[in-house]
Amino acid sequence: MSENNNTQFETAFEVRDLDLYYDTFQALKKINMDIPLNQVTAFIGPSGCGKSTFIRCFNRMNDLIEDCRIEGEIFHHGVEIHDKSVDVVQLRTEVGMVFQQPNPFSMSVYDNVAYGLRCQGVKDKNILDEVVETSLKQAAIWDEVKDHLNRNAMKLSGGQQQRLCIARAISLKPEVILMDEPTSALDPIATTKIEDLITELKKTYTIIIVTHSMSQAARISDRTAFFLLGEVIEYDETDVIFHNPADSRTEDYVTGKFG
Amino acid sequence: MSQRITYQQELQALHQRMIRMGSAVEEAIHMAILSLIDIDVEMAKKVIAKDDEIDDFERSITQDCIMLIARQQPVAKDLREITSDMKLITDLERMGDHAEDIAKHVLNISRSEKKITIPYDVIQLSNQTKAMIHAALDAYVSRDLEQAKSVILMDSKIDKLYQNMKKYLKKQMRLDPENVDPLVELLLISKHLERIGDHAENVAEWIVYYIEGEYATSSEIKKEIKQERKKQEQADQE
Repeated sequence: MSENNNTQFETAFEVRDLDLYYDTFQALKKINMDIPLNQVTAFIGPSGCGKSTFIRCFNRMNDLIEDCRIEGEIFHHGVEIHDKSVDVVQLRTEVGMVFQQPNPFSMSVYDNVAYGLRCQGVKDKNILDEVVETSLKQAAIWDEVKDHLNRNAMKLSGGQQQRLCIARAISLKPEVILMDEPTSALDPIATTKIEDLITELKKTYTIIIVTHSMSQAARISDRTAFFLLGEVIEYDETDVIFHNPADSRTEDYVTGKFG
Repeated sequence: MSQRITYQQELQALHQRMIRMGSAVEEAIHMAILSLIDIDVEMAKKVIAKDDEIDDFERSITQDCIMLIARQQPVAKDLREITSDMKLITDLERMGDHAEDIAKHVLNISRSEKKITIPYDVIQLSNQTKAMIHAALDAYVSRDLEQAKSVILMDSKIDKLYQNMKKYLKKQMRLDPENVDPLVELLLISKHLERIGDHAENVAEWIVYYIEGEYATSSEIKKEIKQERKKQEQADQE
C-alpha cells in the first residue's frame, strides 16, 4: 500500500493488520490505517472492494453478521474495540452511523431525535428539548422543521430525512460519525446540503464516509483511501489522491479508466 | 478494461491539436528566421499572416480545455494534462507573437535606406532558439522527462548568445551611428529570439509538471540536474 506517512495527526482510530472473513471468503486483507481526529476520511473503490465492510468495523456492526470473522486490531483511544471489556452499546454511542437510505423511525421529528436519549433513560423534558434543538441545528435542518416537530418524519423529503438521521446520530454526542454512501439516494440539491453539513460537522466530529462519487470525495474529504479487492491500495491526503496518486491503479480508478 | 471511451478520445484529440499548434508555431519561427537571414519581405508577410492561425488554435484549444473540465471533471494525470496544456498554449501563442514581431522588424530593416549584413551571432542565436523549440515540442509529443529537463539547460546558452549580441550591436551603433535604425531592429529581433527561448523553457517546465506532478521552477530543476550529475560523477569516480 502506498501511504504518505509524513503527515502527523491525532488519531480517532488506529487499524492494525485487519483481516475480515465472511466464512471462507476474505473480504478485507491486512488493513493498516490511522484515521485522523476531526477530519473527513473518505473510502473509495469499485463495488465489492470492501469499503462498506471496513466502515462497519469501526462500530462493530459486522458482529451482527453470521460467519463474519475478524482478525487484527482497531484501537480507539488506545483501547482495542474487540476487547471483552468494551461495551458495544457504548461504542456505538461514541461511533454513530448514517446509512445510504435515510431510515427515520415512523414517529415524530422530535421523537426521532430524542429516541437515543430516551433509550439511555433520559426523561427530563428540558434536557430532551435542548438536545433535540441543538442536534437539529447542528444537522442544519432546524429552520425547516422547528414549526413541525410533531409531524411524522416519514413525511419529510429524502434530503430532510437524511439530515434528521444525522441529527439523531448527533443527539448522542458521538465522537465519530460513520456515513455509508449518505447521499447516493438524494438529488443534487439535497446532496449539496449534506456535503456542506459534513464540512461543518468535522469541526466537532470525526467523519468517515464511503462514497461512490469521486467528485464528492474530492470536495469534502481531507484524506482518501482507495480500496480494491479487499486491500487498501493507496491512502493519502485527498489532494494527493486526486492530483498525483502514487499507484497506477489509483490513477486508473480516479480517472475513470476502470470501476 | 478501459472505460470513458469518449473522454479518452477527447483527451487524445486535445493532445493532437496541441501538437498541431506547436508545429504551426515552430514553422512560424522557422519562417521568421528565414525572412531575417535573407531579408525576405514576402516570407515576413507570410509569418505575419500565420499569426492568425496560431491565435485561432489558442482560442479553440482553450475552449476545448474548459469544456473537458466542465463535462468530464478530470483528476490526477488527466487534470495535470489539461491544466498544463492551458498554460502551454499561452507560451506557444506568445512565441507566435514573437515570430510575428521578428517579421515586422525584418520589414522595417527592408525599408531602411542603409543596408546591413546580418551578423553571424544572430544566425547562431536563431539556430539555437530553433533547436530549443524543436526539443521542447519533441519532449511534449513523447512526454519525455529527461528531454524536457535538457531543454531547460539549453536556455542559458541562448541568454549568453543574446548578451554577446547586445554588446556587439551596442559597439556597432557607436562605430556607425548613421546605421543605428537597422541595428536597433536587430537588437529587438535578438530580444524576441531570447524571449522565445524563455517560453520554450516554460513549455519544458509544464512538461515536467505534467509528468512528475509537482511544479518546479527552471532554477529548481537546473539545481536538481546539477546535483544528479554531481552524484553520477562521484559514482563514476568510485
